[in-house]
Amino acid sequence: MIADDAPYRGALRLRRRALLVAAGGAALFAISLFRDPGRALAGYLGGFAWSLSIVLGALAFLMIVHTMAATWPVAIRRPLEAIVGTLPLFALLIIPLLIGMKALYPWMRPEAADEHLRHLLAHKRPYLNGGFFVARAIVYLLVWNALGLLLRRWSLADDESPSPGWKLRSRLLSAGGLPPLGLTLTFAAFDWLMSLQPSWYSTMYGFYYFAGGALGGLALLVLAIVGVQREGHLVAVGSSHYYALGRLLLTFVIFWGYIAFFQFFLIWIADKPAETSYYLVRLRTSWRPETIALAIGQFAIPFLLLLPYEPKRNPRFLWRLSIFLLVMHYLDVHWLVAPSVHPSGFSFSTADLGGLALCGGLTAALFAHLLHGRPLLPRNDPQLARALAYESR
Amino acid sequence: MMRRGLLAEFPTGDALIAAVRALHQEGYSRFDAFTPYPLPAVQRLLGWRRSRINYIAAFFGLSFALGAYLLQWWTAARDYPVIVGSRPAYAAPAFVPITFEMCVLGTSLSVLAALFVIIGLPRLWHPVFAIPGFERATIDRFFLGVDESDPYLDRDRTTRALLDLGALRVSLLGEEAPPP
Repeated sequence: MIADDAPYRGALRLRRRALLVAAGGAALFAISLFRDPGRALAGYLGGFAWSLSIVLGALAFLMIVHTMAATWPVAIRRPLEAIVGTLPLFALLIIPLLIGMKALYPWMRPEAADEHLRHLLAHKRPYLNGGFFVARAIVYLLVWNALGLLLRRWSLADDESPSPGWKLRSRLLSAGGLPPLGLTLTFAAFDWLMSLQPSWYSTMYGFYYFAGGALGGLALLVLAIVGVQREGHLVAVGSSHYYALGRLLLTFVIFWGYIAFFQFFLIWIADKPAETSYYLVRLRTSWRPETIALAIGQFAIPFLLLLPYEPKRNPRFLWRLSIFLLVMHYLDVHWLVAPSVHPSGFSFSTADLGGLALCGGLTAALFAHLLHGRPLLPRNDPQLARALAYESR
Repeated sequence: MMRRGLLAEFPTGDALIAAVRALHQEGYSRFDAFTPYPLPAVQRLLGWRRSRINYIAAFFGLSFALGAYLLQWWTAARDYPVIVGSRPAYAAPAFVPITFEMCVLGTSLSVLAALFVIIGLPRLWHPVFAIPGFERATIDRFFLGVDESDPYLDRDRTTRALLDLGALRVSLLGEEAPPP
């Protein structure tokens, strides 16, 4: 057994490998940029939106945990905080998107649009214009970074100078920060993803993006916990903690399925031309198999696997399922981005792979870097003893 | 659920858990506990298995869902095809909300009914109601019962043991006759 109130010394191999993956991704991205800048940026956007949604899902979970003063998550808060600590990276990762926005977003070049769309874009111009778009992106990233970095810093400060004040501050910031997080997340999804198809809109869209991200954040948290446990850390985290995480995974599988179905359902039953364009591309072209794969892979399979009692307590099972869920969540984000820029039919290019490897690799490397060198348990948290003794049947 | 024996009142869940552990060590085996919220440690010491009610819920939930889907398919798509808003008669997405809601309804009704059968409700009177202050078992007090049938039970010795373990008071359960 290794004491978890001493600084953690692992994750170096993960950091090295993730950096290698990111380097490979950067090379692929550079090659695809020369071939087709618009498609390359769309691939990059997919990797960016995938990584970001996972981190924001983890941030929302951390803030809910703080707001409710929940007990058991205290035992797994440090890996969660390491995920959230990667947020500053996204302020850098967004730069290629802001530089290349003209190649990526159709509303930046209304002269290329047909007459109907040009009319719509003129109408939407007060919101969809370059300057305001960049300003909003800065606001979103400032809000997220302020929330994530302060929560992590205050938690680490409690290790050095124990005081109940740190936790109270975290609780107040989380409770006050959840509404701004919800709004910025929704509008970021509108701006960065939904506006790829500027004639189409859905008020459900932000929710949809968050639901998948929350699922991804929980899946990554499971991977992090099982990973450090395999090195002999966090031994007090037991089957009851996994049961709690497994229940949350099931909840968000259902939540995502519910949001995804009802967004489709309302548009399908109303059958208005302006709204159906989004699903026509995804259901009446060769994008159809990916749509069906998503419904089965991100809802039906994990739902049925997570329904029984025993698997939710089993770390080996949750580890495998979490990897599967992260892959499905990437497919989900790819499904949001790629059909909008490539409506003629299915496309998975080196640009997609490059963007995924670059953004995902850098995020994983920074996550490993942040996990390394700090204790894996918040040793002075007054709830820690009860959190470790948490039991649920 | 025990009807006769000793009933000890504890101020905290931890005190009750410690008392169950100590009595278990001494050889007592037939307990019952009444607490405001579930205490998994006590459930384990009492040898309670996890409830199997989830299988009942799954069976009825899936049956209701299947029944609801088939009913819609038969009435709207097969027996008397109805065209609504130029959609096909067999409009599967439109069947999903009812299917889902009937699944929820079947699950909740069957769980409620099964729960009543399993725990023996409705029951108008039980010996614990004769103990003054027992209603706090649903608020902030933790009651531990030692069943009369426990071969280890000796009223005086067990009462003293319970008080030593931190019980606020120990009452005799099942001595009063039910009210006429």
